[in-house]
Amino acid sequence: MNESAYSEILDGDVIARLSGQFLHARQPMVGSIVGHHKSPYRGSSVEFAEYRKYVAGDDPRLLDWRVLARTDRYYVREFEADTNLRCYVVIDCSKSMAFGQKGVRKFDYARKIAATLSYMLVHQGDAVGLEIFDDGVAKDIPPRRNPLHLRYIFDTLAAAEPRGETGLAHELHQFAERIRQRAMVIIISDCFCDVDELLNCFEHLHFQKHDFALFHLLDPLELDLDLDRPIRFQDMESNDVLLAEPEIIRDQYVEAVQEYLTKIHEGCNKHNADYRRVATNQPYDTVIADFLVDREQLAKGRR
Amino acid sequence: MKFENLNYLWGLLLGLLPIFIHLFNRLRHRKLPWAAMMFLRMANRKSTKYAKVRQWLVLLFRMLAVMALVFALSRPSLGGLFKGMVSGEPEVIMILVDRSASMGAKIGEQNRLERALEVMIDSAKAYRKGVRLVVMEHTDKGPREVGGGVGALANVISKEVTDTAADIPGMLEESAVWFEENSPGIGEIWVASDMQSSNWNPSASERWSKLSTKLEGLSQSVRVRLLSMGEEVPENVSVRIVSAARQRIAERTDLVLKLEFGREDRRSTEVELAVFVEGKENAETIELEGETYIHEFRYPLRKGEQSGWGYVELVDKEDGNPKDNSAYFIYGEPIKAQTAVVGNPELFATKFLKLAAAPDSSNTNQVSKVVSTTSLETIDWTDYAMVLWQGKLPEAADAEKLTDYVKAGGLVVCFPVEKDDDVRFNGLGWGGLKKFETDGKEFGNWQELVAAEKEQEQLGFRITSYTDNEGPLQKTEEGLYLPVGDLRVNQRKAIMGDGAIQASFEDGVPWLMSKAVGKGQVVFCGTQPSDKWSSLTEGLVLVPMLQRMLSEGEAMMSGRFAQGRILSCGVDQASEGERWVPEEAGSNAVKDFNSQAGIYRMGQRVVAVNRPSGEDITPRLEDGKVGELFGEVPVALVQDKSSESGSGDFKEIWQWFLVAMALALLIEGILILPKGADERVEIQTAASGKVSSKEGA
Repeated sequence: MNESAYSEILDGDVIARLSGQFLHARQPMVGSIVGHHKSPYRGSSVEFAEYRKYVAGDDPRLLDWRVLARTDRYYVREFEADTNLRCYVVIDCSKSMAFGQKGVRKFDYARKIAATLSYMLVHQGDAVGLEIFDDGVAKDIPPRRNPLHLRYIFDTLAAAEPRGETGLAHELHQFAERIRQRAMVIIISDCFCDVDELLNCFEHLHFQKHDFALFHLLDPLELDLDLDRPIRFQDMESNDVLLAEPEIIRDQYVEAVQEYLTKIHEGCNKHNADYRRVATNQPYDTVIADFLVDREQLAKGRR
Repeated sequence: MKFENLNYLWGLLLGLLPIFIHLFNRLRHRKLPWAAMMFLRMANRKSTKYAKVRQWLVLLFRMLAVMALVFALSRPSLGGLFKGMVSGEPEVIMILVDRSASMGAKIGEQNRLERALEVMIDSAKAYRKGVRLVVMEHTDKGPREVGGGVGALANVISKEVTDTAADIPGMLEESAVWFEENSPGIGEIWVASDMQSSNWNPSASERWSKLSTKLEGLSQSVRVRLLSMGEEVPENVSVRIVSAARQRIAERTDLVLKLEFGREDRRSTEVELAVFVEGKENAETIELEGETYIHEFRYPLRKGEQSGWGYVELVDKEDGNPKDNSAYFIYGEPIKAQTAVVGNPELFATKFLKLAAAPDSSNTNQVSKVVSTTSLETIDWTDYAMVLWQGKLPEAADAEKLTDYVKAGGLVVCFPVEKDDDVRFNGLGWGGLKKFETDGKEFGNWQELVAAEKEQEQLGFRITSYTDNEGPLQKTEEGLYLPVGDLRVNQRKAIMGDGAIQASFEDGVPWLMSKAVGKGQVVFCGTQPSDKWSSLTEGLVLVPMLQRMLSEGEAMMSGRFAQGRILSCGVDQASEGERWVPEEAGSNAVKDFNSQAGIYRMGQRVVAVNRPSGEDITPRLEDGKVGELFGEVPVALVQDKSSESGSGDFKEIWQWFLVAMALALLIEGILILPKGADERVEIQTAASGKVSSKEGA
């Protein structure tokens, strides 16, 4: 893959602007090495966690001698553990992601977000994997944290093209079962599937204690149906055709979209998903920046 | 409804334009690959309810707007009996049917009456089923309600044209009374007429004024719809009898028959006619000039023939109105003005009255006859122009019979008798006998009164006031007063009851009182022509008074059914029980004396009955005049559609269609109005974190 192909999915200026920022996990992560994210386990970092009564078998070197001298009781000092995280970027690669009228194609937009976040994660020492779903698993790249792996991800992203029907809900269930260890999951999709099934997947991910975020990509035209003449709409996934007059059905359409979005948003809140509705006419760097800032503020708040 | 620019109605096809534009717009669709099909399908399902109805309504109102514009440009006018439907549907429709002779004029295959009935029945069908229908033909005595709806109308109304004249104001008066008595809701009076002036009698302004006031004053709204059938019938010729008299020339006796021909066309034309005299047909051909033409025919009569009858028929199959093509006549001895004096033939007063009624013995046309009270049962009052009643007032059957005579136009003059009683005749009767006395002294007769008078004195009951400008006591043609004030009344009887006082005594007691009963009159005189009673026996007052009454009786056609009369059909109605047999049509023919012209016989009397003169070609009432007659009563004058004349009462209503177009566009505009910012559902293009309350709502 040449450099020009990368430039379509990765913008150097955006990377430069975001280089000062850090992608925080919203909950402790289980990593394999020492990193920048909190671990659910105690460790050897400099950050004090708590006192705990000494029990037989504990290393006597961990005894807090000052407390023993003052109170004549045996206490052990424990410190937070810092670890790295494993992040899975999940991209919906169904044919509906190829839609793009008022902005760019949703899939192109998704690729840029995925590439930028992957780059940032690898550079902050975290592992990144890539899952591309269409009506099945189109590509499954497990998380790695070396630069070569990043290149492999970029190549994969650049080569991917939307096709087939959406199998997002089914594949997410499979995916949640496959990764048992806590991880960060970033889903980028238009979510044009059954909402209840999708929310089931989110519940599954939440149950597995993954920190997952949803970038819900929508073209502005899909939101307002701002069309006038009668149009023969052709389903991009099934090729079904529907002749309709947008002027007549606009109100009902917008109401249906609104209902659907609200349901997804509420479902995400319920399952502690980080919901991001994104119209594809928004600058993607702003979307990522907002995402990072929100997480950073959350991390600071915890401390 | 009619249209000034009828061809413009082709423009109604432009009403399809919105549909074509709509279909073209649908065909002009473009193809668009779409991802969010699930929402489209959902919206499409929901929109089938309201949005699609709204879209069709928009299309409909666009079509209506275009069509209303086309209608407006074609300048529609609304008229006809249907006009009523736009101004509130009536609860009652009163149909007045003019079946007079002039309604027999032909309009194509139909006559005016048939055409009028067809139009009215068709119009009535357009109204709701529950509307009450009331019919009055001009030969009816009053309106009658029709059960069974519009379908029954054709069976209820006779399509036969009569030889009579219609009294349109009379029919309207009867209608007003019906509305007053029955008090239904909104009413309409439909009149179909040929607008013949004689039937409408526009000169009776006071009568029309009362009628319009009565119609206006009704508790419910009543409007009049008039179907004018008054188009000209230029090919029509009418014939009527001016006179039919015998003329004796030496040994020969001729019938001199004077006929009048009328028509609407002034051009000279030739007509053929058949004159039947003494059962023999005489074919004649004459050339008519001008609108009216009088021609005299002479036919020698058989020797010794004193009287007879005949008739005239126009021979023209193409004539515009067959009903005015015949006329009947009767000839014989001159008509006599007979007076019957009822009373005791032995009494002076009776004898005197007989003499006063026919004072000139050389005038054989004026005769009087004393009728004994014992022969009242057999007498036929219709032979007499006047009846002088000198005796006890009639009672029971006699009174009833005499009243029928009076109602039919007879004149009865009653004089008092000595004996008091309480008998009343048509509400009038006698009070007690009062004799004149002065200083406690009574007088035997009026001559004694005169003898007792001193200079500058007049004894007796003095008559001080009387009507001298009209009536039996009016001044003579030379302007001389009758010496009513010089009458010496020695005894009198007060006249009881209400009537018009023609003369009264000094003390206000009436001396001469008249009362109208039906078409005739009853007159009561407060004193008797005998010396004992008054100086009426001098004759200076009584004779002219009776002569004038006799003339009035003649004018009122009293005794019109006497032998040899030529009568007007419908005007001179036969009384109940009288059986008049058509003479000219054969003894088996069935004809109605009251509605059909002809020669009729009853016993020994033969009369000729013709249609009234007003039914021949006479001026028609101008359309504009009708509105004036009805005053403030709303009248819609409708020309029959077969008429060629003008727009009649049609009212242009193109403005309505412009308003309709504006309304249609306004409604269309409201339907396609974009939703306001408050109503419109808008979706935030970006959202994150917790759901906001607005979004969740």
